[in-house]
Amino acid sequence: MRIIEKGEISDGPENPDNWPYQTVLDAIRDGWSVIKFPELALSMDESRTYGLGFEFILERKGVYR
Amino acid sequence: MKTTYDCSPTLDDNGVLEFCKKGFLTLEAVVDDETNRRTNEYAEEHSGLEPNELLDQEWFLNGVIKNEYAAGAIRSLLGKDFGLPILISNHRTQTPMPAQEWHVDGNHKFGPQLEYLQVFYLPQECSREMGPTEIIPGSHFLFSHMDAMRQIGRVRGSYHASAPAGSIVITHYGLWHRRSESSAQSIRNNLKYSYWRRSAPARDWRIDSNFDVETADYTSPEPTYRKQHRPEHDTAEMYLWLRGEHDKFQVIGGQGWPLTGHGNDSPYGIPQGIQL
Repeated sequence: MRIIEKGEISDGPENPDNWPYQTVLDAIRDGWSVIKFPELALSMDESRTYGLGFEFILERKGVYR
Repeated sequence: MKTTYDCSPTLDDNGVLEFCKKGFLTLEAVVDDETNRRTNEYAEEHSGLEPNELLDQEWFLNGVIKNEYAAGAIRSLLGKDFGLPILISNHRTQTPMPAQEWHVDGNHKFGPQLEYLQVFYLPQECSREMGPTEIIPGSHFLFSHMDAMRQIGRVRGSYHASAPAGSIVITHYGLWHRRSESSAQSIRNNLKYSYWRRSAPARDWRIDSNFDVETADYTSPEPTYRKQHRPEHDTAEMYLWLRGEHDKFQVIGGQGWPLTGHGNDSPYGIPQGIQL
């Protein structure tokens, strides 16, 4: 997880239990939009595992928690 | 100067399998206090990135490079007469510092083979606040280019190699890692060097007579960031490579080997010709 907020880059809390959301769906329900879906093509080759799959990029404008 | 070394292996089949699953092994406080003290002193006087002269110091060679616990594990994984390091780096960091980006060190060759090991030696305690090396367990099985991993940030399930003085962390060269963020005022010495395979892979580590390649547990701790049951496949393939039997590796899929079954017999699909 990485957060860019007010132009500052942060990895957020170290403990995953303290992350702002536990699932992408939780974030969507709180007003975030998906601006990039995972590169599913990367997981189509069964002989290799490419990178960390299922990486979503979310965006929410104008509201700071 | 290239030199080989041999000693008794210390890992058994389960130890080797565990390394295959996670891609690293931490040996806590295995280097004696006097060697740690001399190393810290040396690093203070020679603060450059590559203090290669250390490799010529008898006390360092015996206390660290040929350390019986570390060398025994290296011997188990790289086979007899393994090659000793010819290059050493000290990632000496004045903390606090932000975290590095995730990376795999350059020129890594992806695959089940294990031709070299990257090792970190901590001559002083490295607490979480001092920014220890952070590792994603099992990531040696995740192929990626560095440019595709830089932005990832926090990863659930990562391991911080916090450890007491004199600890040695043995890693697969392809493991994703980074210097974690630090919050304490300190100077952190972290020496890094590689050992090399010089003999063909063979099951010449400590043999556990109770170990059964047919029913061994090839599963990995979650999260693995791989599709379901891919970890068992990857671990079994690397384990057979280390045994010198990679040419026999095959899987039939389904619930066949190397999945850990709960059936009333050994699994279907055990590779033919494998030494039991």
